[in-house]
Amino acid sequence: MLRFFIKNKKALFNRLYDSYSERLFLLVLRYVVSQFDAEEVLQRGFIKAYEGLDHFKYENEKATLAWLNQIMVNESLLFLREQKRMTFSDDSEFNNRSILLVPEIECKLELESCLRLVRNLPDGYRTVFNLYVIEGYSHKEIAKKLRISESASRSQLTRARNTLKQQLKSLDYEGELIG
Amino acid sequence: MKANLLDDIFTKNLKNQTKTPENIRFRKDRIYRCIETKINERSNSKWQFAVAILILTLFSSGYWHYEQGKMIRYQCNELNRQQNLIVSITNDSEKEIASKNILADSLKMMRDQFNIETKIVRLAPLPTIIVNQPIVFKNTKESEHITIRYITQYKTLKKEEIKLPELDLPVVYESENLANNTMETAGSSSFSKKINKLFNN
Repeated sequence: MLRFFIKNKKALFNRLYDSYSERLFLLVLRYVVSQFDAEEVLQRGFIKAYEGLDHFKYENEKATLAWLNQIMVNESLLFLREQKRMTFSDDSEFNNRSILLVPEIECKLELESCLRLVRNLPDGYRTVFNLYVIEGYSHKEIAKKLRISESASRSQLTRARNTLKQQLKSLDYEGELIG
Repeated sequence: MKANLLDDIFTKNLKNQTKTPENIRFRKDRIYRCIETKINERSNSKWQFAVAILILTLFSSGYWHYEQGKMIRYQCNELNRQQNLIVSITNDSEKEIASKNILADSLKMMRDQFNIETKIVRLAPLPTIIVNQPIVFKNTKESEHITIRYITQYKTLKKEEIKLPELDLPVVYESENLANNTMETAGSSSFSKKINKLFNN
């Protein structure tokens, strides 16, 4: 019985790994710059998922992916906290949405370029940008997750956006992508 | 220049992407093997921990049972030895003294061997109930209640030991009774007529 249960659990885990591992690896790469570190975080996350499989109830693909995403994000943040890489400055002066306006050429950015740009950001900026823009967390949730103030979260996001915009300008994507 | 939201561009490109870019190598099998090894290690460590606890529990309970058994065996042996010693003594007074001494010795040995705190307490003498003798309850004037004691010791008396209690009952003489009856019957009219008739005849 136990053997059957373990076998079944392992089969389910294998299916999850086959279906979502690559996607989750990309997610982790957005938070953790080093590929080796990303692999380590992915392993930790999947071990957590394996342990949580006893209470896991399959509803649909979206819910499963959301559950796995949550695990990976938490593991990434934990890893960054362990490495003591994240530094946040409490500065609320950067709260201007007009800064989001970027030239038309940026629409031609692809996954590889976007990922490279995001990974070039400092750890604090990158984490807040990922959590807010990509995962869709609110500043309140981010502040709670990262144990910082909401204003710090806002300033980090604004700084991240500024840096991205400067990077885009300096890299001259128009020439690279079109020309 | 068309206005685009920077966030939208990154969200569109990075969210729900399923394929890694060419410049990044995703070593799926290698990572899987690492995960599998770690899971097995964790699972084994859990089992090992559970087995270790089980063994420890079994060992401690076994040891406790062994110690208890040892003590009981020692007590039984000691009791047999004492009984044999007491039985071998024929004189009653010597027997009593011996049994007391042996009991004290035994307690001392137990205390020394098992490191147990013992205290000798003198018990009150137990009441003796004689079985094959009529029991007489004496109802005293001080108390109207009859106190019943627990039977704690039984003693069967020999025939020669049995003493019948002297009961404080009223003494009735047969002649007086008869006289009384005669007096009562003499008072009746029919009886006097019968007497007169007898004398006349």
